[in-house]
Amino acid sequence: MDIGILLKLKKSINPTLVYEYKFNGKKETKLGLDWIGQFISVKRQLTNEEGLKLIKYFSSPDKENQILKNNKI
Amino acid sequence: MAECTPCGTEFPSEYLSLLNCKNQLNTRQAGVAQLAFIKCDQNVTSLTSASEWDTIRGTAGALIRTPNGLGSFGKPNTTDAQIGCKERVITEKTLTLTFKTYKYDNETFTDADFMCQLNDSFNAYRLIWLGCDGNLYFTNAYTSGTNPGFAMDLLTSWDDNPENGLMSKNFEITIDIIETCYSIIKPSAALIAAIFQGQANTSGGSGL
Repeated sequence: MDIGILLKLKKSINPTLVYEYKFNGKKETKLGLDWIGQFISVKRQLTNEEGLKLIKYFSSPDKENQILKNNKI
Repeated sequence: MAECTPCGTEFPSEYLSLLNCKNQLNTRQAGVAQLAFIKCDQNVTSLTSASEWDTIRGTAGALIRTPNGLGSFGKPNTTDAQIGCKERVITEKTLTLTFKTYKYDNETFTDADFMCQLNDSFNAYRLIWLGCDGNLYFTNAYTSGTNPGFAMDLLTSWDDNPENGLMSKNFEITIDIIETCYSIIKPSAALIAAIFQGQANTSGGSGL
């Protein structure tokens, strides 16, 4: 994932809010700060397209986008 | 003269534009606050999942932490070789991390065994650390489902026992970083607690 997309993703997540999200086949509920850490730690495994999907979800979380469709990582 | 051909497909992403206008916010507190040793057979799917660390911590011998202390590291030691008339290459790059804690178990004195067992078994463990800046440091080779720690080339620990004053437990750890760097994330308080503070499973005693 490009650094620019990672930065946009980071900005789209409120570090103090709790988000529920299914990532890498595992549904988790955790602080935005932890989701940011998660995406920073696996950034090299994520494609730009996956990064953009994450931005879409974390910008306006809703049930439809709750599951990351491409969980190949 | 060396060729102007980048070796990798990526170029360094500069962070100049990401700096804060308040310069105080651009500095980083130095120092290593605490070490954690993860058994080499432990893999982490989500580095920031406190529950996953709870599970690892609950497995005997899977996660070993030092008490809080203070550590540091500096310029890595490198060895290079001349491979052409005006061309050199780094062949070895190691980082030496030193750490010291003044905290001892003065009830049951398990700190003596801890040191002895760690000296014997360090090569079965991978190292991560908590910085004094509150950040978590791990290998940049980490990907989901792998061990986020650094393999250690050498670990030695000893007690400094001066004529007077306090005893201190010291660790000197050498890490081969020729092919890896460290990555950093800012962990939440819950994550720090899960990795560095929660009760670990010590059943089996010499599980190290």
